[in-house]
Amino acid sequence: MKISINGINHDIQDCASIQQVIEYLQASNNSNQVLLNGFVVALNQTFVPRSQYLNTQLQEHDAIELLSPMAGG
Amino acid sequence: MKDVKQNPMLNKLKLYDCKFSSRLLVGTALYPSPDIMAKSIAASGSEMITLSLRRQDPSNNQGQVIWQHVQQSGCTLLPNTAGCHSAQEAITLAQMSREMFDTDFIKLEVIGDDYNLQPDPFETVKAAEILIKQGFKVLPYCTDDLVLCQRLLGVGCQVLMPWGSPIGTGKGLMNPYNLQTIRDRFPTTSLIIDAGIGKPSQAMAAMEMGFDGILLNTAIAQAHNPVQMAQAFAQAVSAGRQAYLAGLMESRQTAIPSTPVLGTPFWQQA
Repeated sequence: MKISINGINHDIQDCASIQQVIEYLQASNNSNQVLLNGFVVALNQTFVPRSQYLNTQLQEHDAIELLSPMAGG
Repeated sequence: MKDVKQNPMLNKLKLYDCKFSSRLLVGTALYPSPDIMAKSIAASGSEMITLSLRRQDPSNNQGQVIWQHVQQSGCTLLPNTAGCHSAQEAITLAQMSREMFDTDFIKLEVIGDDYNLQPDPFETVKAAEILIKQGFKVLPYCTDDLVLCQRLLGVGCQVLMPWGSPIGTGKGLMNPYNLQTIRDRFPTTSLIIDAGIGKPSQAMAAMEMGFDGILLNTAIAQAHNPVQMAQAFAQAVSAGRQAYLAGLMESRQTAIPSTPVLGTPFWQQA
C-alpha cells in the first residue's frame, strides 16, 4: 500500500491501520527517532486520537502526519 | 479596572479560569541554544510559554531537547497554530496540540498574508467559533481592527491578542490609536499585545495603556544577551503595569511650572 508519512512516500505491506504504521516506523531505524519525542497523528488533515489508532483503517494514497513538540513563538 | 486598582490581590493576569502573577508570556524559538532558552524563560519570570507541533527531523533532535527543557520549566503551555492558512488546518493542529500537551489553551494563529504574516480575520473567527465550542481556551492572534475584536468576543473568546506590529519586526506599537480604542471599548477583556515588540520600552508603553500582558519571542531570543534582555522585559512589563494602576498624569499642550510661582525672587526687577 502506498501512503505518505510526513510528506514522504512509503510502500508498506501489511499495514491496514494507524497502529500498524506506527509499529512499522518503530521497527525502522531511520524513522524510529521521529517517535521518541512523543507524537500525535493526523490522517488526511483530520486529527486521529490515540484511542483510535487501532481502529483507523488506511487506504491507498492516504497522507499521515506525525507531529512532535517543537519550539514556537 | 477600579476594583483592580483598589485591591492588589486582584492584580493578576486572568486567562479564562486561570490566573498568573507574571504578565509576560514568552516564546521558545530562535534562541542560540536550548540551555539559553531555559535560562531566559526563568529570567523572564514568565508562567506561560508558547511552543508548536512540527514534523520531526530524524537527523535533528533539537525538538526533543527543547521539549525536555519546556517540561522542566513548570510553566503553563500555550501551543500555537503557527503556519496554518485556513480554519480547518488550525482546528486540526489545535486538536493535535490538546492531546500532545494536555491543555485546552491554544494560541490561534491563521495567517492570511505570507509577506507580513498578517492574520486572516475571516478564518480566525471561523476557527475560534468552532474551537470554543469544542472546549478550547482560545487566545486569538489578531490585528488591531475593532470590528474583528468584536467578532472574536462574539463567538466566545475571553482573551484577545492584537498585534503591535508584524511578527519579528520589532517595530513596537504601530497603531496606538487603534490599540487604545480596543482597550477602551473592551475594559474587562484580557488583552495581550502579541507580536512586534522589539524593546522593553515598547512593552512598557503597551502596559501603560492598560493592556493586560505582553507576548514576545524574538526580542529576547535574538538579543546579544537573551537572559539579560528577559530580565529587562520582566521589569518593563511590571513597571508599565504599576504605572497604569498608579494613574498617569494628563498630558498638556502648554507648560505649567512645577516649582511654586509664589515667592519667586527678582520678579519685580524684570
